[in-house]
Amino acid sequence: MVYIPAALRAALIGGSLLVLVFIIYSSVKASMDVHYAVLWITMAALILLIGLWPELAGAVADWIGFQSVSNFVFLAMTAVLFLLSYYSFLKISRMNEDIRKLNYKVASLQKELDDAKKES
Amino acid sequence: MKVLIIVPAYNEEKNLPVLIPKITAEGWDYIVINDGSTDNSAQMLAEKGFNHLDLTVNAGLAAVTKMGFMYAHDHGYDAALVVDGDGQHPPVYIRNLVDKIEEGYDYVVGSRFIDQKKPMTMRMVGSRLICGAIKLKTGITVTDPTSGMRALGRKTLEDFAENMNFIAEPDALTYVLRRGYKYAETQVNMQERMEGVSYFRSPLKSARYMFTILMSILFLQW
Repeated sequence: MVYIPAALRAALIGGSLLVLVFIIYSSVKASMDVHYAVLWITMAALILLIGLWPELAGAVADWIGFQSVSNFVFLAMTAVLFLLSYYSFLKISRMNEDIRKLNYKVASLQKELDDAKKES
Repeated sequence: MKVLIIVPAYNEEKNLPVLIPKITAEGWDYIVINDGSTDNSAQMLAEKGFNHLDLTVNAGLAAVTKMGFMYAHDHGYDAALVVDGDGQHPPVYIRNLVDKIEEGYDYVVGSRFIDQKKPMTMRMVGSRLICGAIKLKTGITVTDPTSGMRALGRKTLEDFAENMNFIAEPDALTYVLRRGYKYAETQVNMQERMEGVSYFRSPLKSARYMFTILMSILFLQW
């Protein structure tokens, strides 16, 4: 089991709590879409969980067979960020498609309007 | 009082021709918002001459209702009422909800469970959980937080048209209660949907909905 000094423990808890409060506060303030806000709050809650029980990360790292806990935590965080970034690319690509459709719709409505004006 | 009935509809080409005449028979103004349906809804709405908006891109139920509130607000309505396009909400109850708005309430929900017992189905277990979360957050007991049949008075209509950020009815209700709007419920008896499929199909989707809605109630609505 890894030994964690009290100051480090306090910093972990304080830091992760701050992140959670910041995310909730700014999501509400900026009216972030509820689905995204919930995703980020869940992430921040998981970080807080690790902040409260760093031994949890240690136990999982041991169990999988990592030599050091920090390697495991870095890898896990990188994997999560990798997936989140992929997810936002998915969303962007769907939005691009939606914008293309809307762009076409606006242009064709404009044409209908212009044609109707010419006729009258 | 000018009241607009908002009818969100996704693939409801079979239900709408039954529902809309019932609404007009009672003398209400309405707007159908066709959420990019993949059936022949758009064509049917145009042919029958129903008052409607066709969305080019599927926006989801929450966004569609918001558009309805924006439309009602832009067109000078004093109140708006949501009636699902699937025919679950019988238009005969519209009057009861509007009466409450006229009495001065800001937000009125058509509840299935004021004088009827909530059955013990999975969905109603979810409903109880949501009631608990709302009670915890606002201190107020509600009977049917997932009911989609609700009426908004002028104040809530204006607020919802501008700052609405909800995924569904329960978190909208939480917002209303937190803001101290005058809230009332009135008994309605809903029908099973007439044709087609509902938004909720798989258990996984329902679980995700429950998680998101509870998080929204507890952390995002102030």
